[in-house]
Amino acid sequence: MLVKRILIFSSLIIIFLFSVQATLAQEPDYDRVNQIAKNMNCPTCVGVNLADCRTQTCEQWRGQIQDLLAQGYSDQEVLDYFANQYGTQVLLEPPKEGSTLLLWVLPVAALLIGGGWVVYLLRRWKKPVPAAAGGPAAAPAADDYLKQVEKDLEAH
Amino acid sequence: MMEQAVAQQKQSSLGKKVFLIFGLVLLVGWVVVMIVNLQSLESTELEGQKAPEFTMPLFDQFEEKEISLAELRGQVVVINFWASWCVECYKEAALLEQAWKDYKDQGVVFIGVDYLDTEKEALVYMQQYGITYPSGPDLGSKISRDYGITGVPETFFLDKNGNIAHVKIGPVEKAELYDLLDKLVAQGT
Repeated sequence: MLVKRILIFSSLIIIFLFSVQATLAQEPDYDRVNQIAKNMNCPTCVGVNLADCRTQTCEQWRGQIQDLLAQGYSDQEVLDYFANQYGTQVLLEPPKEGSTLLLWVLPVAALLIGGGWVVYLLRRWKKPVPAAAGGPAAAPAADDYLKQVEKDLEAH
Repeated sequence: MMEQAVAQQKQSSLGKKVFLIFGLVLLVGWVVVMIVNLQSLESTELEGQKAPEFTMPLFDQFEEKEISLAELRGQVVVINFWASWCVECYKEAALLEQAWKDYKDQGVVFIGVDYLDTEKEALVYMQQYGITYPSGPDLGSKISRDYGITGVPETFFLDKNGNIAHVKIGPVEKAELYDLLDKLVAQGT
């Protein structure tokens, strides 16, 4: 009788442990959900991260992330799903293409050209034009006059 | 010596011009990109204009897999943008379904465009309010962008020629809805 009870009790414990394990396996942990949500924007607010937003929309979206992870999606696949479903603007870092690409390229190009301009100015500053040339402003205006002077000097 | 100085002067002037042109091109490019990005279409500006075409997949519960606006020419079309998380949408959900039932035999088609929504909650919402007119997700938010919606709910009333006759921002009232539908149904193509 006692053996029978022990067997039933052990079986129940084993069933319970298996069901707990199965539940845990299906429930992706919230840290992972939040980690993915940190790479996304709240769709209805401005400048708010999906992980930090408390609106119903974002609650649902985090739930959706959880469901996708439970279905075996990888982190990247989840992001791809959301981008495809709602548009790339939901991603914190939208893919660099089209006008988004220009937004990345233009500041870099501006920095390079601006930097080049500064270097150019500094070099010019360090190497002043010889005094004989009459200075940068005077030279173009005195161009013909200087040529004439040179000719006269050669003649003498 | 003198020629060298003049040549140096000319070279520096050319370098300056090149930098200025580059800078100017960059500035113009930047302004163009900003204008393109900041340019936002207002839904009400579309009134009187041809409705942007779209083909939208429908939720699984519908027999048809997708709905195309182009195929509805000659009918009055009501396009309602909604979401399950939108509290204001609850106020008009039952009314829209009722209007659909009242007018579908008079050549009126209702389309629900589910905006930034999760399918699970969207289906619960539709079941809760007994929505039977074609509804589906706005993939990539493309339809919402083309119609320049400012939020949900927003409803577009299209005449039989496919022009946007009226845009309603916020929940629609029964008197307004039925009045508009009566007028649009009475209009010829």
